[in-house]
Amino acid sequence: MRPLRRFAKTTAVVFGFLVGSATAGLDVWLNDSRRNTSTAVIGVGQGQTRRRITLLQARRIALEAMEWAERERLRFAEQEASSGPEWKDYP
Amino acid sequence: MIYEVPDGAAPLRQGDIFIGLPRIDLSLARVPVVRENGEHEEVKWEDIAKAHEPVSAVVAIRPVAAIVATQDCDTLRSPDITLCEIREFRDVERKCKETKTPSSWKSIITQQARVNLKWFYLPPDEKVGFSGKMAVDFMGTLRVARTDLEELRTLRSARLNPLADEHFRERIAEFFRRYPYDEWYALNPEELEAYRKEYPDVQPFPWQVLRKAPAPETA
Repeated sequence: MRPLRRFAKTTAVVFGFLVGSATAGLDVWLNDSRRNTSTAVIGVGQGQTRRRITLLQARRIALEAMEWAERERLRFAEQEASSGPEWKDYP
Repeated sequence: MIYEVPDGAAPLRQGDIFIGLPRIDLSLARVPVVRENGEHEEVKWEDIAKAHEPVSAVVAIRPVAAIVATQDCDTLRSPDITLCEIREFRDVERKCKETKTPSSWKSIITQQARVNLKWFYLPPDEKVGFSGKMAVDFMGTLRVARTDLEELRTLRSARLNPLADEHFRERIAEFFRRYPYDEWYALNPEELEAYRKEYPDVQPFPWQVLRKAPAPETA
């Protein structure tokens, strides 16, 4: 069977179709009455920010998000280890 | 070890272990959106949400090992299956990053059920795909469509044996049943003082503050 490390080092970037989920409440994607065409176009002089980027930049942003998430998980684990119970205290 | 290999056609069950399921990480501060004309834009998720329209985006996907967390009855018909990521034990429990001796490992593995509720230990097994000690990280969940996961049963390398499965079922329930509370609330002032040496930011509750005895009245 393939060792896990092999998978952990493999990274793929794909186009994901992001659809907001609101299973517990109102689904804003499906409720036409709540759709507002005036806000359907993003960032037209309304204080919203957007920046045109290349596909390479998009890929880099995606990878940076993944790397940041991984670092945060490790940082959290370190933090937990520094404040959690000491094994030697639980014989 | 504590694993068994299910028949390839066996239905999904809690405790099924998959190697290579997609974990998606996305920064809501910087979403690389793909527009209909093929152009790319970096947009804040807040702005996408305001528009109430789905978008296409570039996201990073990493194959990870994971274990089914969804209960057995729901794995048969729920549209989505929830899984917990399986990571290297040393990365989940950083206290043992330097652990080497069997005696120390013994203490960590047997005591974890009593003390640390955030992970579940999985021993190494080359047949499963675990070359080292692993842990289910209850803090890290992912979601896969049930029908997709059923199609991907070739990636199911094992499932927990009955003893481990029972333990896992209780542990995951225990983890999600936890509730946050200020653990120092019942300490007396002296105990609280000792506690605050380790956690100096902790504030005492009103009943933990020593009240000074009123000064004797003088005639």
